[in-house]
Amino acid sequence: MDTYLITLLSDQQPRRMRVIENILTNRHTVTTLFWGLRYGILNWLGSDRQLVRADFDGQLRQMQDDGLLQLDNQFILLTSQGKAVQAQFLSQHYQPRFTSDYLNYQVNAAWPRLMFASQVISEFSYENAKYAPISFEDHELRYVKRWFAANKSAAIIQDFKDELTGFLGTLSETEATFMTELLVGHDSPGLSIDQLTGKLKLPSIDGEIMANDLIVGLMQYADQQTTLLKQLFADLHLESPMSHSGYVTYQLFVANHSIAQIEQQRFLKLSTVREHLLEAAIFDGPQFPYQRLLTAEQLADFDAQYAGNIDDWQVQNVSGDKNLDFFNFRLFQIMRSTSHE
Amino acid sequence: MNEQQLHEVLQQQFGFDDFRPGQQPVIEAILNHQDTLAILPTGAGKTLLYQLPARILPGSVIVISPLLSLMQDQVNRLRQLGEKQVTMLSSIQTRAQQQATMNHLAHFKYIFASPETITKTEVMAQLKQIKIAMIVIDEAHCVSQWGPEFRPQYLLLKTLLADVSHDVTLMLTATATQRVQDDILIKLGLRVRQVTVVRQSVNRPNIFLSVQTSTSQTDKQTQLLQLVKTLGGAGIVYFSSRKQTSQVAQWLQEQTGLNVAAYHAGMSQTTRYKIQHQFMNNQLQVICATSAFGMGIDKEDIRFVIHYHVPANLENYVQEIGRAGRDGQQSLAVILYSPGDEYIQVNLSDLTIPSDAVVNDFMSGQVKAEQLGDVGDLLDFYRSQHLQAEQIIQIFQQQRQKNRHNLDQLLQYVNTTECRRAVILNYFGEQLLNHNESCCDGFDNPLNIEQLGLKKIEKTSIKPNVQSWQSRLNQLYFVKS
Ligand SMILES: [Zn+2]
Repeated sequence: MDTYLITLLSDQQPRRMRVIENILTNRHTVTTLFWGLRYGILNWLGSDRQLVRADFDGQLRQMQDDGLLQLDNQFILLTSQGKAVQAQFLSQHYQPRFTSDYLNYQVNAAWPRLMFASQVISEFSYENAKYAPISFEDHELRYVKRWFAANKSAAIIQDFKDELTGFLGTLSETEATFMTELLVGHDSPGLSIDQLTGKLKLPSIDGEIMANDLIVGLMQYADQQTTLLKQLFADLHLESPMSHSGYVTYQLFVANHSIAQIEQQRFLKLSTVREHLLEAAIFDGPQFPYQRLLTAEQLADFDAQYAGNIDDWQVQNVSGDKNLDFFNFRLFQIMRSTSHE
Repeated sequence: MNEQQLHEVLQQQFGFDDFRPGQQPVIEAILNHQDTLAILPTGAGKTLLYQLPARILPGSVIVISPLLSLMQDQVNRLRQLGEKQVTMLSSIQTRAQQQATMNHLAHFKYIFASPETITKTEVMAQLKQIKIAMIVIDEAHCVSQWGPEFRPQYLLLKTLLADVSHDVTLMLTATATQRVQDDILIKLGLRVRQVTVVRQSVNRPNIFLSVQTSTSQTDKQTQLLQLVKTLGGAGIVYFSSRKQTSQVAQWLQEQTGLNVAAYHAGMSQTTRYKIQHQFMNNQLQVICATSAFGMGIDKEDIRFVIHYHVPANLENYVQEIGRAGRDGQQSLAVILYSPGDEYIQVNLSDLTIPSDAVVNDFMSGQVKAEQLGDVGDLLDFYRSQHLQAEQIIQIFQQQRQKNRHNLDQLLQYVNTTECRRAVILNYFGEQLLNHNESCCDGFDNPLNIEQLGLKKIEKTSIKPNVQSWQSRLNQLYFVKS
């Protein structure tokens, strides 16, 4: 069975099936995020929020029946046959290439935004004011209308077109066609993703993945090379991939507040502040100020204690405070996981 | 305002020469501040019934609708007609978005909301601050437990009408038996005698009614293929399951070479928009859909509506086939029936009505509303109205019986060897007409597509290939040279 799920599996590293599921459905627990980091699949966080457990389990069972994977106590490991099928899959399907920015944008909102903007510009170019907007949301309508009003001039049509052309020119013909056929305009509602994969003879499971990936590519490009599109997507930048509360904690921490101060200021439990900091370390990688939490001495001790595969490390109690021991241990694991990259 | 002035408004502001049947008496009653129940078939131009008075009466218009998709269709239609001050209070808004809308309520001419949302204490409080010209209750039959789509949340509207001052109330429904009609007014706390009722016949003489029986699914598919191949013009095929809309759409497209697409409520908003507009632009000939499709469709020349599965009741059926032939030209409605199909409907309705065990688990706190989806919302609602488990179980029991009864009525239509139209008219308490050969396939008058003039005129169908992305951009954004 063809499924992108196979690309999230490994023949070297046994992976927890529920972690993979939680990553896809956007469950923001530190455990999920940590293992997502270890498996190198963090960028897929929240990429399939509608995923139903029965379908997820069904796909795994099918792959197991086909001899592609072994399931042992909820850990998945690809068999050598599975590894071969994975390689084949990658060669036959769209390979996302803008994944590094998936967590930096509100990706779900981007296509509806672009489609509506395209419609506004297109109708304007045909001097038509009466049409059914593709967007229903007051917020979307207001945002795009304000964007349009701020830039409205005879030149906007050509400029918008030029900016799109700039990005489309960096894509393959198929990819550029895929994007332009999705767009909405005057007397031309465009095609749906399913219709397009049919017309372009692409595997149907590639459609959503490709649409998502290319729109992230466009937003990246827009940030660097455009004016209109940059403004159009401006509010879709996320301040951080972290949970909002975690982000607030981390901002205070970076501004040199101590854990104890943050506990007091935010009326949070110590364990919650620690979870927030672990989340921050996971997303911020090498930039995280580890030295404020782990002394040189502790680091030397840890290096002596822990060696080999990071996945296999087990927490060792040293201080008598279990929560603190685990926090330091996990922090060290994250530090070593991100510094190797 | 006299009749001539009314026609002037119609022409100057809306560009129509004449009212459609039923529109004028409704609009006149509304302008005279008479509460009105309009029972008009689909396609009778529902939007105008409140849009025209809204242009004349000072104040905002509240439109209540049971489903988000219905609201979105209406909102979209108004915006398309050039109305700018339209908003929607809905569950898909975040708290902040909802608050922002609430703060500007008086700026909006049209405010759409579900019964649950509009009757929230804080929303009602805001409504009392603004001038309200009209309250429009769409799908008003939902308030009646004798109707096929009873929604207990509609019962809350009685409070809205009583507590929020407004000039006039307009209730809209496509079909209602006499019993439902009376019940609507009672449940909304209105005096039967003080309400103007405008009723148009459910009869659509230009739609030929047919039922084709098959013994297996394979047979049924063959029948469907045969029909779609033979019939000209645009058509809709209705299914009970989302999955089958996609499967059959793809299969039909491969088999016929026509452009066929699926449509159901599980698709993204943008996809639904595209499919709907492709159909209206004649880029698609056939839509395979669930009952989610059709509300916002403004297409006059739909030639056929085929039901692959039996619908749940005659009300739904009449509404769904009513989308065919709005231009008055000959059209066709077919049910493809294999004995036993009705159990699909029975199962579906059993799925939407919770079992006694679910009710008990919910009321005792063992199961939470979130775990139950739509059913959870409903149970939550009943609990908020202080109903006990036994009472709720009894309501559901009645609902099951009512659904069975409604389905039986539909099966009478399916199984009759006499006039099918007579079954429909009789059900809605209307005068019977004489059957003739362009009426239905009863009395041994089998469907003859050619004789009805519905045969496809062979044209070389042009299948545009996908154009280059550069020319697509040129087409989308027209730059004068
Ligand atoms: Zn007849």
